[in-house]
Amino acid sequence: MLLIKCPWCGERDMVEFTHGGDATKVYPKDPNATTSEEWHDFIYLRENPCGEHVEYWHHVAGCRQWLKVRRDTTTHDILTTAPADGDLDT
Amino acid sequence: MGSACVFDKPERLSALSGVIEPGTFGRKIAGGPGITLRERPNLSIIQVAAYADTAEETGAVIQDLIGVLPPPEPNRSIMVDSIQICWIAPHKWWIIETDQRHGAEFIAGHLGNGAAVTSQGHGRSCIRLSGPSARDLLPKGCTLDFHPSRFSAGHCAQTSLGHSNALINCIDDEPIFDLYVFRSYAVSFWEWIADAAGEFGYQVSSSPEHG
Ligand SMILES: [Zn+2]
Repeated sequence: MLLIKCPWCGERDMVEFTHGGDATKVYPKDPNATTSEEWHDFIYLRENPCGEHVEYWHHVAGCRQWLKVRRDTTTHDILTTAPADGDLDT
Repeated sequence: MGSACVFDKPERLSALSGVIEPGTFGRKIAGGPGITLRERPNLSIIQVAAYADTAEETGAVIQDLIGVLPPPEPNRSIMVDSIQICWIAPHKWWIIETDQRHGAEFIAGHLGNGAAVTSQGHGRSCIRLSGPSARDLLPKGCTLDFHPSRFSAGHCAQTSLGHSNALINCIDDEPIFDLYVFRSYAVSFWEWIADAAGEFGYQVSSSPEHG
C-alpha cells in the first residue's frame, strides 16, 4: 500500500486516489501554431522512466483536488507532493 | 411564479425509509450495545464553493449569516446551534442544517458571484454513529486513524468507508460521528454498517422527523 501525502489532507491511503498520468507534458502554448508532430508527441508519447517520475494524482475520494507526485517507479517511494499547479521541492 | 402552484411539493422521503428498523441487534453485550445508529433524515446541505480570491469575503458573509466562521483549515468542522459547517475542499464548505433555516437561495443571495452555491441535501443520506465501540467500528471499513488523539470533535474527513465515498464528521468526543453518503448508496451503506456493528451489539433508534 502506498501512502500519498495530499497537500491539504495529509497522508492518505492510495485507495483514495486515482492516477492521472504523466505530469511532465506541457500543453502547447499556441495550439494553432502547433504542428501535427508536436500534437502527436503531446498526446501520445510518454517516457517510461526507471526511477523518479512526476505524475498527476487525484484525491478523488477525499478533497477531490489534483496533485503532483514525484514517485520512484522502481521502489514506489512517494518522494514529494504538491498541488497540481504548484512546484515540487527538488 | 404565481401564488397558485400546479404541483404540490411531494413529501420528502428518506432513501432508508422502510429499511431501518428500530430495535437491538447483534451480539448481546453485558454493558449494553456498543453501537447506536440512527438516521438523520431530511437534512439541508448547502455547498458553498468560493474562489481562491473570494474565500475570505465568503467566510465573512457566512459568519455574518450563521454566526461562525467556516473553518479555513482542511478537514475541520464547526458546529453552532446544531448547524454543522464542514471543510470539503480548499475554500469550499458544506453547511448542514436540520431544518431549512437558511436555505441555498438565501445563502446564494448574500454571496453573489463570489461563490457557487448548490443544494446537496437531496443527494445525501446521513447516519449518526455513536456508542462506546464507534471508534472500533469505523476502521473495519476505512483506512483513517480514528484514535481520539487523531480524530476528535471538530475533525471531519472525506474518505472511503465501507466501499462508499463518505464524509465523516466527529461532532462530539463521546464519541458521535455523522456519516454522510450518497443517497443512492444509502441502503448498501446501511447493510455494511449494520453488519459491521453486529459484533459489538447495536441498537437502532428511530429517527426524529428532523435532525
Ligand atoms: Zn485531499
